[in-house]
Amino acid sequence: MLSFYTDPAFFIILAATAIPAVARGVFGRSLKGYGMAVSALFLVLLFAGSWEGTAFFALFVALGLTTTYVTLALFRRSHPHRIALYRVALAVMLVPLAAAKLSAVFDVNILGFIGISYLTFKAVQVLIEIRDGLIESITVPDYLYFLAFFPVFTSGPITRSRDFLAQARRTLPRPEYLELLSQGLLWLLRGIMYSFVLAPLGQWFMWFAPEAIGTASAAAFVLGQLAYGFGYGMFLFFDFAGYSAMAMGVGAIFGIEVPRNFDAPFRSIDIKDFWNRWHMTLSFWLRDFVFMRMTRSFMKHKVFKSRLTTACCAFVAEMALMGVWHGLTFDYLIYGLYHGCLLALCEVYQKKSKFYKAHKKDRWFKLVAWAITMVAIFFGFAIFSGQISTLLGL
Amino acid sequence: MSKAKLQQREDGAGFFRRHGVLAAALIALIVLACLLFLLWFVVFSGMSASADFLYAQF
Amino acid sequence: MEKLSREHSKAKMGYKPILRGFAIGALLFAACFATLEMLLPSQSYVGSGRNYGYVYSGAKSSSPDFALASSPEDSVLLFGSSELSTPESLIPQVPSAVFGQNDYGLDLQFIGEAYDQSLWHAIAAGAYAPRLGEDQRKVAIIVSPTWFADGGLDGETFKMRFSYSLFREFCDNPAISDSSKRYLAQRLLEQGLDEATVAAGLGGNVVADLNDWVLGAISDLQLRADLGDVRPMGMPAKEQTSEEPAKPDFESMRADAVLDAEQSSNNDWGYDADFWSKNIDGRQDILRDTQANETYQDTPEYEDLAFFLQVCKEAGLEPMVIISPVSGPFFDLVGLNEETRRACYDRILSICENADVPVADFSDKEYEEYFLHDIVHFGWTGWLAAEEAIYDHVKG
Repeated sequence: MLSFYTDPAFFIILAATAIPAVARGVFGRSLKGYGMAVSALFLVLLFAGSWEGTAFFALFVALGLTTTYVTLALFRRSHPHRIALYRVALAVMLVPLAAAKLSAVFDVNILGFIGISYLTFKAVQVLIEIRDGLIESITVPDYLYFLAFFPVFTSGPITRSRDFLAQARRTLPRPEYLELLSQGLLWLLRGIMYSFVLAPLGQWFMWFAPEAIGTASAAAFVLGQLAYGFGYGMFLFFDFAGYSAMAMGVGAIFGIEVPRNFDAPFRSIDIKDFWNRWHMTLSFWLRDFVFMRMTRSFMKHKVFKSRLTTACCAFVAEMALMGVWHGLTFDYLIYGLYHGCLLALCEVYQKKSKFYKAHKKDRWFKLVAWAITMVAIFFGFAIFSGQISTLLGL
Repeated sequence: MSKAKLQQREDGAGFFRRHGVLAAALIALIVLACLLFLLWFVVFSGMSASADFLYAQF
Repeated sequence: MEKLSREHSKAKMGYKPILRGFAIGALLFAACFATLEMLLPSQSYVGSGRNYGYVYSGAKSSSPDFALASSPEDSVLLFGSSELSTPESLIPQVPSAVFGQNDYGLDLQFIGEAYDQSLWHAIAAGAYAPRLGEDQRKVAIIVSPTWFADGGLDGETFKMRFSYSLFREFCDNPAISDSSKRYLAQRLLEQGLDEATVAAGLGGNVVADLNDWVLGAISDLQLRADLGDVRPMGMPAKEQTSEEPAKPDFESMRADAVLDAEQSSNNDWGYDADFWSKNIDGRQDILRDTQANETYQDTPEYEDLAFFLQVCKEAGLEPMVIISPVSGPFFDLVGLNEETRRACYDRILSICENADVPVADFSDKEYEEYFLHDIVHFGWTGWLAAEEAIYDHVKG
């Protein structure tokens, strides 16, 4: 029923629930209990009116609790088949997301609910960390709060369990809370301007510019397409960065420093730099829980001859996964593979090219590299938005 | 961030630390300007698109 | 392993100025907003004593407060679209001249602008009805076949014309049935409006009510700002006389109309010279068969028209449907032949018959010179015919 960060009602209820939060923070009181209660309220409002959504969410939480506590028990008792059973638990945890994405291809919804993609990241993360011995215990309320923390529930940024819970369990003294709150308010303001002014301006530019340019000549057509592509990139960035900034702001009000998702991505001088600046929490999650493990496994089993080949294959696989996580469509898959190949090419170039090694600190080189990177990422956005597909008549 | 840059930032912030009133005034101005522009843009400009938040789809 | 993207919160200016600045900035903003609220005249403020019944304006049409306060009591609502914009300087027989400047005992209130079609008018009818007096129950709507082009009205154009406050008043009308509200909600979603907006109008839960409060406030501010541009328009109000209103002599007005038309028109099709030279003269080959693929059947507009009539019935209005013709020679040229057009007119007629409403059917005037002044809009004799039909409907 309630759409987070877009409905006016969301902001009104947020303002109302923020007041006690700020009061508690100012008086140095714990925000955990109150944060949990407010998150519960927002989730009720989010899922109200949709029996399907509520049911699937409840099922997901049940699965999460079960897999988590079973895995914890297995590892605590050093059960002989714990690794195999852990893998089963992992697979089970991925079923809802896979079912949702697959059924979406047929315009049906099986097991999907809003926020499932991000919740899956969180639930899977906990299982992997249990397996790695990084989590030895977790209380049910803590686990639920980690999953249900409302500011990041629908679209991230993806929080990390140990970091989140360490913060949630801590009661901030007044100066620290006020420091966090003041930064949060700046993020909130920035996010609001990005999402409600700059992103719509990007959208407006998307249709206005091509129309203004017209299709009188081939050159005009190309220019119009470029303008559209540029506008889309602007829209995508401001829309998503704005949302992420608002999430950081709201998180801060409730005493949690939410990790950043964007860090001046249009300053990236190569594609690896880009993924350290764009949708950072996704990129880092994939790096830590997919890429690293994949490369380690490949190296251990000597699947590929060299380290470089291993890295390249892992990049392509990781990014392909990133692509289809958005949805099981042709455009998203190609987007993923595209970025995977770019990363692989970049890796090869940076490791092998003498020219690169000689000039990588030169100003002019960085400028050229930046320009090339910009073209590459905007072309990627054009794949993502379907503009390329449409142009190619696919 | 490099040491030089951090030092630069420290100096910059130091200025505002000393002139707290100026800092508050600056922030107040920024907040006011942003909110006024937001009001104008959303209500009166006609360029406001209905918040089509893209990433909620995933 | 836990590499996080945390802010470098080291070298900042400290929280005190930031929090103080926010508080001050927010307070100043609230003050500015309050000032704006006070200075911007409310919708019902008219101010001038002029008659805005014949003003062509989307803002006026979307504001029952202004429209009803700014025209004579008992003005009869005329729902229309782009034909309402025809100026007196071009066609001296437009309603602002015939009814606005003479005392025939009938005043009109134009509701609508270009691209307002059946769905928009249904919302308007539902919104205006509760505020109308007993003598204002009879209304008229000018329907054009061009509304029924295949595919229906495109979403972006519809959204541009959609008024949230008008929609909200429609939903607040207790006479409108739940099934009508459901139909409207369904159609609005189909036209591209987002769920939150539609749900807000319908209300019924906390979230919808909060959204409604904000969206209503935004729509109100927009209308109040736009009405500022409308206030300089309008015509001097008629003088109040105690005499009996005269009966209009449409016969003699028709004779004058033909003379006026002969002066303004210079072509076989009876269009005004300006339109002819800009759009038709020398372009006939380019225009040929450009609309040959249209069927004028594949559109939700027919159901929307039936819906408009249903809403009028529920809301206690007595509509008359004025079926405007399109220009026969032009549409023959572009490939939309007589058969296709006839099918469209017949379907409109059967909808009106089913709803048991009176019709002023001008579909047989497609080839009559001077009935239209361009490809679709009423001209010299056309406006007179429409006005006579409205007069008879209201007075008869």
